Amino acid sequence: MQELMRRAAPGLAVAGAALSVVWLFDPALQPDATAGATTATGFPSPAQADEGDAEEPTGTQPGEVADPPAEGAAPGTAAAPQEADGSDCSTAQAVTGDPVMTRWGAVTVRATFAADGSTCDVTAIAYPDGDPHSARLNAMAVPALDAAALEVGVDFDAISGATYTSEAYRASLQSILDQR
Amino acid sequence: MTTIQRGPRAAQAQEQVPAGQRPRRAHRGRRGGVDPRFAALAITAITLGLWALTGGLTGLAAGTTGALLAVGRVAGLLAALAALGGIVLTARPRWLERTVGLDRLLGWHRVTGMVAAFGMLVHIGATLAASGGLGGLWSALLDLLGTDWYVAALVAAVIFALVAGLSWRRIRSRMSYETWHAVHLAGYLAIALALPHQLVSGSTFVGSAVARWWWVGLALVTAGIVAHARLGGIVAAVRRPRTAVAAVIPEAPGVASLVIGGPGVEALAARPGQFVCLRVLTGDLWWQAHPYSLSAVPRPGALRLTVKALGDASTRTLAVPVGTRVLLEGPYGVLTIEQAQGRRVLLIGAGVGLAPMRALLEACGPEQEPVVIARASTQADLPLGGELDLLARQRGGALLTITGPRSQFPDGNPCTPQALRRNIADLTDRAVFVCGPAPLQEAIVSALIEAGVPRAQVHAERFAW
Ligand SMILES: Cc1cc2nc3c(=O)[nH]c(=O)nc-3n(C[C@H](O)[C@H](O)[C@H](O)COP(=O)(O)OP(=O)(O)OC[C@H]3O[C@@H](n4cnc5c(N)ncnc54)[C@H](O)[C@@H]3O)c2cc1C
Repeated sequence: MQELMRRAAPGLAVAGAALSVVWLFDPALQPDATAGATTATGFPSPAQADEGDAEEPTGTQPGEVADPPAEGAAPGTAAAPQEADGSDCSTAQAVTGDPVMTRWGAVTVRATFAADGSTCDVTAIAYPDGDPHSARLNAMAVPALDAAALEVGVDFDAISGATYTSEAYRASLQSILDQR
Repeated sequence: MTTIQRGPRAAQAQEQVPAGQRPRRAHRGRRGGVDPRFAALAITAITLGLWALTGGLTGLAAGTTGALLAVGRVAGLLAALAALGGIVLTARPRWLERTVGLDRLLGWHRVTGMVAAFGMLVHIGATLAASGGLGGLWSALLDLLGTDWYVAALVAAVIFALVAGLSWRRIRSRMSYETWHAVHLAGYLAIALALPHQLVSGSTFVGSAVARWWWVGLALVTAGIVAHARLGGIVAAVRRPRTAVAAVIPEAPGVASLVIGGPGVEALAARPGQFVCLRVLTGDLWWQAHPYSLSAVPRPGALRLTVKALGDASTRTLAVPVGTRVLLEGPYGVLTIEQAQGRRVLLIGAGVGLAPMRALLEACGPEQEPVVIARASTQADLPLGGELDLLARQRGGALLTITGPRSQFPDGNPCTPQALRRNIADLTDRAVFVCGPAPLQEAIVSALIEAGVPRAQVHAERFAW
């Protein structure tokens, strides 16, 4: 019996370690941890989403993002919004960006522009939602991204936990700006 | 060594067809049914078809990221298939063993293991690269791990890498069998842990219910085959009537024969050249089964195994009291005398590898004029020498004994092609059975083929897996 234990020990150790890691860390086994974390930040603004996202290199500092940049202030933020006067969004023209692939599916962004070039609206018309995780995550991330993009253009901060969607969103939006 | 004279028939035989022309598959026992490789190909083709239909092909053409993702998916699918195939192969289901033979089964298992390991590396690499192009590798990894069942998948990958790494010959030979085997079994866990991430977010399966059912079906069928093959042997052994150790007969230093008796022996219906997995029902041995070959044609109600005390279990097995109950799982193995297809026979055995040769020898008819080449370091170490000599001569054959230290032979192999040809005039016409330690056995098989024996006439059984 003692020998049985000795022989089985390495295998049991490997199996035990493996199962503990999965049990402790796999999102599928956490009682809605991912969703919880996502709502905790709530993505009201890109600045807040940036917290705890240290690993994500973005060109923008939280401080800068907090106040919306003035029109044309930063290069690459052509989509920065204008205040309503002079721009009529009821006759806005829609431009659809390139679909950008992620691990889970493509993200396609569409923006509408008023006659004077100001941005009326930015929305992802397609994003990965085929699997439960993507659906859950993107249901929250995408509206936040829409809002952030409308506010600051491509310079929004990636959303922690949805880096993929964020980066694909950014790339698709950039393709819109490149078209114009 | 003595040169053995053969009649005119032998001389004739030497002029026969040039060697090595016969397809390898052609002579492996009687079999019906499909070549398992066709089945494996068909399953792979269907899976790849589902991949192609669910965006695999269009992905390939969709820019770098799309192509990387598509390649990653294919690699992942192939790795998963190889892993499933691999565990079917080592479970050694009888029908499979019967059609392809144990040595090829185990050889294929090695191949599937490598395919699974490399496929997994490509899968992970391509998937990360595809994502890294957008955000950076590290954050890509963190994002992936935030996905349901991806931590499980990563853990599976680590286990797989461990299993593959430890099976690398150089490392494997430095580990004890039990440690290696215990870790190897964790491969089952790895396969199970990798499955959910495939189903939950593998584009092939998310996109298509048919693909999902196909995949779940494959996993279930595999689990069924493995469970049946692994447990079926034990269940059958338990249900057979009683078998017990009837005698332990010393044969050579560290080698003894176990005679197993009881009504269960008949029910087992083992044939010479086959082996059984022996489970000795004592307090410290019941949980392990070790393979041993029959060393004689079974008698009514009794069979004989010849065991070398090589490690803990075999040493203790030889020390059990007469009357100890045993379970015999099997019989396994395709190395029976039918493989000779009526040809004359050459039996080459080294050390305790002579045990199955002894059984095959007894099964030979006089027309097969069996020649036995027995290798041991000294005459005293030669197990079953007297029986081999007697049985060979009774059948018009002869026993050739090769003793002496390994160092006196080139590369430690006494059976060079030249020596074989010189001593056995009708060598290329004979069916050759080989059994011994793996390296020596491989050397002998190569020497035989170099000497002109067609591959299909060479039958070898490994004594370890
Ligand atoms: C098809 C086949 C037929 C065999 N026939 C004979 C025979 O007739 N006579 C004989 O003396 N030996 C035979 N062997 C070898 C025998 O099975 C091993 O020597 C025995 O299992 C050693 O066990 P152990 O615990 O005493 O030694 P350990 O020190 O544990 O192992 C020694 C070596 O034996 C091999 N081995 C151990 N356990 C197993 C196992 N459960 N399954 C497969 N390999 C194992 C390993 O390669 C290991 O390196 C045969 C092996 C095979 C595969």
